[in-house]
Amino acid sequence: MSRALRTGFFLLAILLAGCGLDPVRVSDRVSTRDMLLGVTALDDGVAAAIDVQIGSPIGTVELTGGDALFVTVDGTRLPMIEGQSNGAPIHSVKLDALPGDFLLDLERQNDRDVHGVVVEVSRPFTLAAEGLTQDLPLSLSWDADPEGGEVSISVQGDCIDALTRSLDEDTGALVITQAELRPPPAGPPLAPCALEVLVSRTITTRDALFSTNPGGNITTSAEQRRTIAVIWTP
Amino acid sequence: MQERRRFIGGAAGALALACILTGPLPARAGDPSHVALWRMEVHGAYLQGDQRLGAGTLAPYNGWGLWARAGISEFPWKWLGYDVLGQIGLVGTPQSKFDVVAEGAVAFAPARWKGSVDGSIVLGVGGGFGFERPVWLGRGGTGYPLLLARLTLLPKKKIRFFASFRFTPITPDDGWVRSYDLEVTGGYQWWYLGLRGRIDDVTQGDPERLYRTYWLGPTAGLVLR
Repeated sequence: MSRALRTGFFLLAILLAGCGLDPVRVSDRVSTRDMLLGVTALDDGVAAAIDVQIGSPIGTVELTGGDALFVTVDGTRLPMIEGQSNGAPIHSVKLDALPGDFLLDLERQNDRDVHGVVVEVSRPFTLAAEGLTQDLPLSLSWDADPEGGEVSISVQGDCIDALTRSLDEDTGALVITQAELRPPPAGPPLAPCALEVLVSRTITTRDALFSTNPGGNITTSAEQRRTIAVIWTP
Repeated sequence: MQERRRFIGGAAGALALACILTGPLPARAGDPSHVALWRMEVHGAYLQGDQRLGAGTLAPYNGWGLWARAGISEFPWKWLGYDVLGQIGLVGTPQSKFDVVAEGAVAFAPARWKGSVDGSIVLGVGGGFGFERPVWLGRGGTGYPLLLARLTLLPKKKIRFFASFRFTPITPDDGWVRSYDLEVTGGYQWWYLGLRGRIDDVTQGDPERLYRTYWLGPTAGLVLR
């Protein structure tokens, strides 16, 4: 069999096997009305980051063809930088802090733009911890924000089972008794140990980008998170 | 007066054209450059392209098709005839499994010649009805206009080559669909083998863009006349 014939058969086999069917996941091929914008923002008290993933009927896409994402934080408009997260394209901005709500803009060369989407962020807060000496419980306090979304508190350490609490209402305070900090049954011997207390306040939203159907949608999750270390001797 | 002359002139012209087209000599089967073609064939094809998902997202897809086709191109008059084609088959995509097409056209034979290679050219205008193509449009059956052209070459008495092209434009409510179908065959005596390719173009969506599907596959057939 001639080389040309073999090459022809090989190319035909590839064609029939459907090679090249894996979609090219670029925004050029996706209508804005089919986009699912997923916005994640986190301020951990040290630094902050905003990440945006663009979902679509063909999967998560990267921005191409002059399409671009921008965020406006505290009056400053910043372009988002493309990267990878778990093998999928993601667009990010690194910040010192998230002082409050920010705006998201998606600008497209050959399709509809999305301008001025408000991503709600709860107010920054300071976390303080007291107690956990002798018989005193662990007393946590922070700046309450009743409109600031869901509040969850977790306590972790090598000497205890991880403990998590969610608050129906943000009161700005929580008391955890020592009895609630149960050591794991097969844990290390009782001794002074370091605990990490984490308080998280998260606002999540889901809205349509356009009133048409399909109109695309945007989901946001903006979290203010603070951690503090305490020592406990069971 | 001038209008009357114009009317008489127009009528005479139309009559002359009708006489030319329906001239007294039908194409004879024994004529080496005759334009009649009766045929039956089977055709298989692989398809690959982009379909629309959502409002306007290009999503790749593929599939296959297998058809039985029968066509009659006959010229009761020297220059004027008809061309009909029917096909029934299966299309292997998630959207469709069954395909039926019926097409008919008024055919003209503007050129036929004898020489070292006999041949003819046939042009046709007509219409058809079939299931939606490409299948992802999913709107069931639809009617459409049809333009066709066929070149036949007969280099020897028992050897025949023909290439046919069919163009079917459709304008549904939500876009514009065009199908370009090209078949090239070569045969000996009553048998022929060929390759048929088709491009289905759909322009629609938000934003409006082109969704193209390519079809390609072999054809094997029998010339009955």
